[in-house]
Amino acid sequence: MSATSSTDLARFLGVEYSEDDPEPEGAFDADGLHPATVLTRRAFFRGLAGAMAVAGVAKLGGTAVAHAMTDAEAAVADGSAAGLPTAERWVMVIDLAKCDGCKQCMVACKSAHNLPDDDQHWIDVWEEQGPQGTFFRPRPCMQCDNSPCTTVCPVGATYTNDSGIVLVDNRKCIGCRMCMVACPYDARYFWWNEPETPAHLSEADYTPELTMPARRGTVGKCVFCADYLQQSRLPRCVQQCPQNALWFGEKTTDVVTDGEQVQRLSELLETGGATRYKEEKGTEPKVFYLPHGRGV
Amino acid sequence: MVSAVEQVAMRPLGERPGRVYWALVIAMAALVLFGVFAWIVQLRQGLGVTGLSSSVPWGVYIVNFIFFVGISYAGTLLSAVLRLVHAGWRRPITRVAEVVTVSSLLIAAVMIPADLGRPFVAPWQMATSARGQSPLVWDMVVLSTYLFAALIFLLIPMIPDLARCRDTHPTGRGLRYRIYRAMAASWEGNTRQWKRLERSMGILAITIIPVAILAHSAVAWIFGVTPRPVWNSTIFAPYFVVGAVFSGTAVIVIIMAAYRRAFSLHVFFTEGHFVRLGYILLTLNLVYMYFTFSEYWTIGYTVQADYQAPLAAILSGAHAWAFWFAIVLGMLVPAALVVLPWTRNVGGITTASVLVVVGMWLKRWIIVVPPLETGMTPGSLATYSPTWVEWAVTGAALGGLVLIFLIFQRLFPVVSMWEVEHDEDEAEVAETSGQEVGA
Repeated sequence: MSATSSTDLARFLGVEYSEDDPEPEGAFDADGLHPATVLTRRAFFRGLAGAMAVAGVAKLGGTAVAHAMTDAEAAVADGSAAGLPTAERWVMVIDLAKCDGCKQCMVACKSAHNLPDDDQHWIDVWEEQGPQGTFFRPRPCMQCDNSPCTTVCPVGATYTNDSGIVLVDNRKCIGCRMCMVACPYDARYFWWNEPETPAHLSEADYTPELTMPARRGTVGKCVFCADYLQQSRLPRCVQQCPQNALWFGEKTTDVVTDGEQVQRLSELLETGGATRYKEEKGTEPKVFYLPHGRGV
Repeated sequence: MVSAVEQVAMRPLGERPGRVYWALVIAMAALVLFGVFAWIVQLRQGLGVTGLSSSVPWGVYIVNFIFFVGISYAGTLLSAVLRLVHAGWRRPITRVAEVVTVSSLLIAAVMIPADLGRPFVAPWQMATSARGQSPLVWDMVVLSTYLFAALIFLLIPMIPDLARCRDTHPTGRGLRYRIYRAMAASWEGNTRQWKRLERSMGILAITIIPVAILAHSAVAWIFGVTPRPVWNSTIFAPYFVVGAVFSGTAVIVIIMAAYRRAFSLHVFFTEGHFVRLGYILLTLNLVYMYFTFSEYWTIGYTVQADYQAPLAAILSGAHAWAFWFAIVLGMLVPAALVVLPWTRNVGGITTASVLVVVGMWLKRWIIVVPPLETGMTPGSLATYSPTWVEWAVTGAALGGLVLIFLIFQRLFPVVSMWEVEHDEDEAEVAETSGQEVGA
């Protein structure tokens, strides 16, 4: 990924994206990639991309950081033969103990995807009552493995891509809104009115990953910032969270980051006592929640 | 030779319509035009002109859709079921019932593009990319089959009557004559043709019943197969089917009362017919009440958190007025009007039917709106109130339905003449042999 293209895109999207984090020497040597190692944001992207490049699963390119992820790598390298996923399996981990309800993630998401203020909250944050008092729950799309929304779509406008992200192709969407009423997480939204097309985008730029230009009369939703993922960048909400309450990772390589730290996904889920929202619905979400009352 | 039946049944065709007729036509056409205007506004500005939001993405259009598909059951029940059980008294009212079926299905079909975000893209997408696992595709397949079947079921038994219109046409020229001639399909009334007619009606009457049941089940499954509390109910399909026949029967009563009054069709639509339909209405009413009770009783008895909010909204909250209107005025009062001997007459049963129809529209509102308003997450709490656009389109749907009836009765006999004559022949035979025919 060239720096130019990323800044161009950042400018398109109206997002402030800092490229100036210094990249410390040796951040990626074998000892460096301890779960608690502090990495720069940029370094992590490259690292995550590199791990996958080595594993031969991604088109992302990047430098090798792989020594540190030996186990995961080996697993993926053998993966194709063993029938393991040959593409990324993106996951999000949300630490409810850290979220203070500042809604910076919502702001970043809305400005990046050009969403109207009053209706579309692709990531939403609300207050809930738990056994240990109130807490805030950020709710992106759960990117369910068994997504009711894709099942009910009459024309296949909504689908799951190779990385497990549920996308909407607004060129096909007829606007019946069946997916919206079927989503147990209320994570789908509708372009009721004419959307504004960002100045630098034309209809030809549209991809379901980019979600823009939006189209009136079609459904929109959180796509884990699939456009950023293609450039080895973290979703905007994860980047913007001042509490580092949002983690983003990849399942096959078993890594996760909040933008500063890198951990093994499995370890974070286990030590944090992760659960999934409405597990009983059988939707198999790819978003995990660490409970709020853990005293972090 | 002109039979007595023919004389009465064909009178509206030859008469010049009166002032009341034109006033009605103009009023209904105005409703339709206003609705079309509202729809154009919606097409230009988007569904943002409705009261819908991402929290409540479905509203009045969907309510109307279920309601009109429901009404369409009328023809199926009365024509097909009563035909199969050889209920002779059905004969004068079958045509009205069949027209109700076709016209309300057409109106229901209009509600689909009215609700879609991209109605002009939808036909092509549905034609090229329809996926069998979507409830909406089941609906498309089964409802279009149903509409096609209902259309044949209306047109085939009209053939002998249309031939008579063709043969008795005073000039044998003009558009009206050509319509009759085309639709009469070279009917001569020979034995072979009669045999074929009876045979095809027999086959249609049997096949249209499962099609109709499937049609409304598919509508119910749009809601039933979602993981949404209250909607995700195993009894929705039969519940919808019974509700459909219930409201459809009520609509037949209303239209019969209107025709009877307008054209002095007392000979055909006798008080006996109203009373019999009243009994059918009562039976369906009781079954529907039973389903309703069963539905809310089983949900309400548990303390499942996600069911409590929609249930509270329905029973005692924002939508309680609609629910209790539907229960008291839409079910209990109509039941009483049929049960009590003082109101078991044309006036009483027609009043009951009007209440049933209003109640059933509200019941559909109760099914669609409250479970959406209360949401499935705390992030999706919202209230929904329809805007003038949605009401205008709804008014147009109603106006369109009435307009179809106004036009139909000017063009075609609203009573199936040959069936009624057939009935009279049978009655004569029965009288001579001392048997009673037709209950």
